[in-house]
Amino acid sequence: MRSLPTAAELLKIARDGLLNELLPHLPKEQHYTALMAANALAISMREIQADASQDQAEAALLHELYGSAATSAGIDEFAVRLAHDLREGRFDTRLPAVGQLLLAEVTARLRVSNPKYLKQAGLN
Amino acid sequence: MDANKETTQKPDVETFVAGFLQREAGAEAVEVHSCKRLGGGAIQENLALDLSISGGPWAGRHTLVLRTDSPSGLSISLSRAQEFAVLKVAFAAGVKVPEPLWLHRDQGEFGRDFYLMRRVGGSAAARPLVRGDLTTDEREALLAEMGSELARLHQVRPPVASFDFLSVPEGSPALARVAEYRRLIDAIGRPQPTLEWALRWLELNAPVGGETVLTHGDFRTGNYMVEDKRLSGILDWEFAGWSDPMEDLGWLCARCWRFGAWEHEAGGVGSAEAFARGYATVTGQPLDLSALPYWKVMGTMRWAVIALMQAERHLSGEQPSLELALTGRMLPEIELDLVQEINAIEEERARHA
Repeated sequence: MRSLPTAAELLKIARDGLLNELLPHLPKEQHYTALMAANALAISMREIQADASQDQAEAALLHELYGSAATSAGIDEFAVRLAHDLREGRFDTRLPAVGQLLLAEVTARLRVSNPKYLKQAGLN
Repeated sequence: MDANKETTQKPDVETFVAGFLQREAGAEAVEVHSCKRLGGGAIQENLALDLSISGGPWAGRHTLVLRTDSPSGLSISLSRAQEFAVLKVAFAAGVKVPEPLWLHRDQGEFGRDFYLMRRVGGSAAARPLVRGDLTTDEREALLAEMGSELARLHQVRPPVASFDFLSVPEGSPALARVAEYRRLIDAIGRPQPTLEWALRWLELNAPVGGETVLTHGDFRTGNYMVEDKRLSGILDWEFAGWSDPMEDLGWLCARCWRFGAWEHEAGGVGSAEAFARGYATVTGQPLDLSALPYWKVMGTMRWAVIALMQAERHLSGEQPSLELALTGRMLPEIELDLVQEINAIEEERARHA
């Protein structure tokens, strides 16, 4: 049995209440904090809705570079290895190609943290 | 710095400054008319002081700013005494800065170092300036002013005797930055593949044969004052150091400091070319902008590292804060900027190959 409303729905309605009902009554100095709180709720909501897409994007990146050894169970270990290998110059001959792969992974995280920014940057 | 010193049993600012100025300015009496906190600066605290001095060479009314450390300092920035030394040199070089007047080296009597400088008119607020109704000519004139001020600053070359606290990078300032950012990332201890990718690119593409000059280190919209559409003063010198002159322009032009006005490359206000024209009026030779795209990437990199450090203050429990927490979630934006900027440079290069 699934509890309803879902976490995403609760975050959405809490955010609506914050912005529509509380914000108009807050003194101006407190607006910034309220807007930040609304943003934090929106990010959390999108993260829940995005499900595992951020992790999948990272796993796809690591799989592309390291093959099937980088299974999703070893993601953290391979992220450390990728960071290290990049610094040591092991990907120097294909930096632009690695850049394209990183772009896909960054885009997946940006869809959660700030989708408007993606649009402004000409991506979707 | 003095962040952990006990400050409770100390005299209040107004009383202390009045006594301090009596000694330093040879005054008979000092009357403080008003003292209020100025906004801006997570690291420094700025107080606007309006006071009258009677007797001595400084007799008269003065509008000053007192700048001190606020309780949470960033370890990579200069102390107040060091910043005061930098301001003195910049002022002597003819750069538009608030004139630095007196430095207080604390021996426990107040609780913190501070210095006093003349207050500059205008506003440093970024968004009203970026979104304001400046005409194209006014924007370009403002950028030209920034260019000529920075050119004056960049004419200061090492060594400067009072700068014993600033190290001159051995070899390329760009490579010194790459090493510094790697150290800071390592200190946080989480893998950052995108940042490592960008740092490797910055390492492989570092410009050769650049000069080493006195740079502001944090020259961006929000850190200079504008009054009646003219530049009235450059503030916030705590990141000054010896570096490549283009680092200052790269930081000003990085996408993160355009406050949404992406169409105006230089600080969301105007063009880098206008900055270069103003720069050339001081140096007498054209400013070569060919390395600017590289230094924009370096600026974006710098912001990535600062954002990581800010987020870490929340994550480590040192300073739980919604704002710092959200800064951590800005990382993907900065990473996207890095990838796009580097890709654009590589594509441009491929076109000309």
